[in-house]
Amino acid sequence: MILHPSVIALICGSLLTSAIMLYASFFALRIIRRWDLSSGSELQLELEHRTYLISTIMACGMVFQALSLFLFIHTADSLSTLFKGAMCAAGTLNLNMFGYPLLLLKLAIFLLAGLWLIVNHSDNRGYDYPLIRVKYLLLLGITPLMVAESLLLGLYFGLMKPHVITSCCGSLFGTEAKGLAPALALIPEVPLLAVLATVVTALLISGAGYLRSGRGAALFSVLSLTAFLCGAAALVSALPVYIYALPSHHCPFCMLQREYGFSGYVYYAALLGGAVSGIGAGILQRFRRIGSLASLPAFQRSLVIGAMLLFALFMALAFWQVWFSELRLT
Amino acid sequence: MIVLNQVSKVFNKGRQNEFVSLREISIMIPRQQVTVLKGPSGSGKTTLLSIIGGMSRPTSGRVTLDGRETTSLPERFLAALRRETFGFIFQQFNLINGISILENVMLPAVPNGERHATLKGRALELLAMFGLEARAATRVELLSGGEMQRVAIARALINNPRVIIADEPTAHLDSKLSGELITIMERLKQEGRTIIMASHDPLVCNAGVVDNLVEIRDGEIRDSAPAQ
Repeated sequence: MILHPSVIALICGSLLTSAIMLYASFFALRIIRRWDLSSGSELQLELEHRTYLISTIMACGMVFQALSLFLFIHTADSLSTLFKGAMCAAGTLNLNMFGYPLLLLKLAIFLLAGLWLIVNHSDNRGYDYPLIRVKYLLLLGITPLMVAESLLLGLYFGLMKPHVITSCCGSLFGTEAKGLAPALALIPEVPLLAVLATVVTALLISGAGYLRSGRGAALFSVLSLTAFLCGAAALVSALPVYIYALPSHHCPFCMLQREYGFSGYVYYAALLGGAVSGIGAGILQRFRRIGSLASLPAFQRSLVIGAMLLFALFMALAFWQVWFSELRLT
Repeated sequence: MIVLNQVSKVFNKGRQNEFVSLREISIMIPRQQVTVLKGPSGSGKTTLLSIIGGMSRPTSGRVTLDGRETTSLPERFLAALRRETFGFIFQQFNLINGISILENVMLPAVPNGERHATLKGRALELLAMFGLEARAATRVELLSGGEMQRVAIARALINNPRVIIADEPTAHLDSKLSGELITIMERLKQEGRTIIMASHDPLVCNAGVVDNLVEIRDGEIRDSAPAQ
């Protein structure tokens, strides 16, 4: 175990959040089984009193879990100087078998935590707890992932061996490697960027249509997910080669470093934030008819605008990078 | 109309010092009338008033205000309802020392975000109604008991509430001032407001303005009837 401040913060934060999530899950089961707003029973009133506190604590936990993704990536990147062969987070994550599964899990938790925060915020807008069962069902779905994340985090940092010589991005994302990442790296850059531009343009048109008519949230949601997947693929396949001006270097982590202006964080944040906002706007569409959620359309509009701005930012940065890169691909 | 259905309140539930303040209270309080909750100290009058006014929540049971259930409301909605619907007059008046009469009266309306000049104008109108306009800038600790009472009533009216809740409003007043208070309550009733008072003062309970008398003892309703 490396007693780096970030490692301690990640493990402590994760354990604390998981413990709260487990407690909240038992409460969620009671809510799902026993919630009855028409009843004035002692149990119902106790549930009403406690859900306010538990939702508030959970919202803090979810925000921490979402932001901890960036702390985790930053930690993996900064620890790379301690291990032979590691030059960026790619090498540190490859130190043992838990690194990359943990990263994927944290990405999934980021998206789900973001969606939970959107549902929770919407529920708090209604006077009669309109989405209470939905939000606690979602919480029950996230809890096992959070617990698994705590476990993987402990295993990953606990089993880091300083004497192990690790492989880094050059081989992990190279043409001879096997797995999802090298497969993504093999996607041709220019066609992928063209697809990404098409999807983001379609998303912007769909978003504008939604803002004008209030319809098409589901389509916008699907396009957000598609843009997220295309953007994630571009972060491995297309963008790195332009950022590093090296046609064979497909690492999505080196761009987190100072010499590349920490631009990776902006790409990641724009992509993840856009996906959460866009998908969230679509999910809320089915609750628009609930009487007490009169403020929902305004919130959906904010989410759609947020998603449009974030994906547009991602696209603009990507094309700025391609345009001004020293690399020219034909 | 305010309807209480099987309302109970237990303090420190499950502990050694558990105390049952209210036991399954069910009453209907008509609109635009004066209802007095009568009973000795410790009978649960203040607890009941605080539940009706949304200042505390029952352990079980429901309260509805003009058909809208209030006990389940999340805090932000309950706070808004409390501010818009109820005006409170407390036993000790609970005026804030160190600030002026005018500022005390304006205080409950500040969270509404109304323009300061409009709010100040309304507060001055209320003070004028109670003959206190000239003393608007006076700090409250310099007031007499009767003046404090009138400031407390003016403050309760600043948000133009439909319901006035007064907890033992005559407890610290002599007979003359108690009579003045009853006159003011009569005026508020004529304006169409619902008035709910907790009191064991015979001057209040036997006043002509009172429409309904609810007798509470040991957290239970012993008698509920139109006033004689």
